[in-house]
Amino acid sequence: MSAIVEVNNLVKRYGDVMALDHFDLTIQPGEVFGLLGPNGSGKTTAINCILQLLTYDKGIIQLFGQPMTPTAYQLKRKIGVVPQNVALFEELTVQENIDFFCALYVADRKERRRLVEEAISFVGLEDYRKFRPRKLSGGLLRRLNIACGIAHCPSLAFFDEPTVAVDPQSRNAILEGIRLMNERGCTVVYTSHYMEEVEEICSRIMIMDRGRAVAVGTNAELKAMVGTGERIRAEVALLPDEVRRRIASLPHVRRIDYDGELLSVHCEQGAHNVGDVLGVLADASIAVGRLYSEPPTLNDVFLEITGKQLRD
Amino acid sequence: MGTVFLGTLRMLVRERSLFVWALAFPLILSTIFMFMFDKIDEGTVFEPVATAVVADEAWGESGFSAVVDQLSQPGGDKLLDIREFASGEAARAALESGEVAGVLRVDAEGRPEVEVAPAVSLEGVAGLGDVNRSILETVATAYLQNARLIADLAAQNPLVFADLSAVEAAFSEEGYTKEVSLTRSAPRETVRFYYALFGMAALFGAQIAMYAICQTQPNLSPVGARRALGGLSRGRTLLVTVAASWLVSFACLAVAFAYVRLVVGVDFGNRDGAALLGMAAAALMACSVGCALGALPKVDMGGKAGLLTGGTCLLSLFAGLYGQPCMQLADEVARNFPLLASLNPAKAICDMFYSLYYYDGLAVFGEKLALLAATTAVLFAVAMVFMRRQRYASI
Repeated sequence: MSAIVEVNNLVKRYGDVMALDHFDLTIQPGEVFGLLGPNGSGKTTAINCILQLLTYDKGIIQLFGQPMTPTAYQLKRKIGVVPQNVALFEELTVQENIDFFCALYVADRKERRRLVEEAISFVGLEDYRKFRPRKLSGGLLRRLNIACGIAHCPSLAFFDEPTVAVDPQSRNAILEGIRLMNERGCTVVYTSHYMEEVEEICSRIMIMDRGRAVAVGTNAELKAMVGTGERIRAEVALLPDEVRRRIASLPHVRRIDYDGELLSVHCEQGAHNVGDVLGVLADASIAVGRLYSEPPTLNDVFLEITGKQLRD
Repeated sequence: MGTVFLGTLRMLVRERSLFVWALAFPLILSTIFMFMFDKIDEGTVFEPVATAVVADEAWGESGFSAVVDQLSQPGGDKLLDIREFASGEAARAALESGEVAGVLRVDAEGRPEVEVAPAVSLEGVAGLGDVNRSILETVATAYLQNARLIADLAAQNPLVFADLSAVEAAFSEEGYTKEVSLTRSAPRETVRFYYALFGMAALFGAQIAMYAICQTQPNLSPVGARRALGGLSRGRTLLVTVAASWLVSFACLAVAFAYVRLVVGVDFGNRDGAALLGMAAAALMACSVGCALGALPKVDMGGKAGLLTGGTCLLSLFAGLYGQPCMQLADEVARNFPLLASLNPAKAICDMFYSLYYYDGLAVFGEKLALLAATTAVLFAVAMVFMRRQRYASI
């Protein structure tokens, strides 16, 4: 099956700053592809270049197997975009906004009426269809922003941080909606700062940094790429310094913390980490209350790959 | 496209701030003009001269009273507005109080006498008192001359009175003069200010198209970025935007025209259809200005609004909007630098409406309309150059 998005060697400069540094991207049909990266890593720039909103210095972009150009309206009609900033007409109602943006893709009025109704119900704005955007809460605005981007039932949808500043209920509804769209055949490109969201819905993930793709793979593949392993937590009433030193000297232990009640052991990838830690505690006849072993999160992977240094 | 057109139209109609300059401004300013120009127009429109008559016994027996009666008959030719007084003192008191412009009486031999106020303005408008005095003096003098002439004729050749109609024709001035109108309407200097106001209002109306165009520009509005990603081509987007903007601009000018025509009472040469056509052309020109400004690269919305406001105020100066000295300046510029004046859309609109009012035929109006259309085409071309294949290094 040919890729739905194919980007090769994309270069984009803002003066002396290299926003995209020979960036490559391949997305297969049916994927929910997560694009992760710190602020300024080039996620939004990459999307804007792919969609021909921005000029670029070099590179080849193909969508649906065809070259993407600013006037490729046949391709544009198959694409939906939910921008990072809410982009709506303040003067139009919820229904009019969705109808307006849907009309940029679908000419047939009857068909559009059906699509607009579906979009309104999809984002749960049935009770607000006559409201102007200024009357809507942040979460409702985000949902309207999404409805305007996907009302025409695109085959490929770009979601650029759609859940920023929304409450957990709205976030859950948005993620459910994206999952449903994907089940109906829409390929999704999803950017976010929220690792748990990406982990939850994306089938494949790319981590970007300084305009480059630094890691690509499934959730499990990414976790396997890094040294960070599980985190072991054990309820321990008393932990002598000698025992603490012995745990710290175990082969895959990176760091240990103890607050008088809870022992946390941060490990590297290893097959017997839990057994090794429990063995030391048993040797010292230390009783263990509850014990937890947590695998590494995407956040751990992200921080290990991109570093902990603050970004702009 | 229909939905996008309707959506754009709704968006513009509901953006109330656009109507401050495009609609409220011409309505308010034309109302102010109406009160400002009221006295000036009064000064150029003839009103019958308020005249006191000493209606004593001699007056009733004199031939002059019949002449005065004739001149004060109601109708378009009414020259005198007569107020009768029983005594000369009462008539003089009316003159001194300013109630009348002069006093007519006859002496014991039936010869007319005129008493007028001192050479100061009677109505508070310079020159009007002089005109009224001249009218009264002319009436009395003409009567005396004709009476003398008839008396001479009766003494030298009484047979001429056998044919009274010939005598009447000889004394009638109609045989020697013919009233011909050189202009379609009686020229009123003040109408040009209203026409200049329409020039300014049309240019301010360019804000509508400018705002609409900015809503299609990815670097100026998030909505513009979203629209640029859609499946509607840039050409169609521009067409729809211009059509909706034109409709709103034209509606504003049409409402202002109706107000100025019906409430303020400004004449457009009784050619309301042609005037509306002119308004439509002015609205289209405003759209082209708005498109060119809206498409101007590397200038934000605030900067564009500033350029439009500043430009409109400057161009309106050379259309003569700000008073008589400015009107003279505009005329001077038009005489000495006709090309420069033709390039000023505010002046072109002002002249277009004045040509409707002033000229008998529509040829000059057609020329002005064509000039406006040419300016519009050039400005649209400029907008297209800016917008064609416009892509952004950053947004």
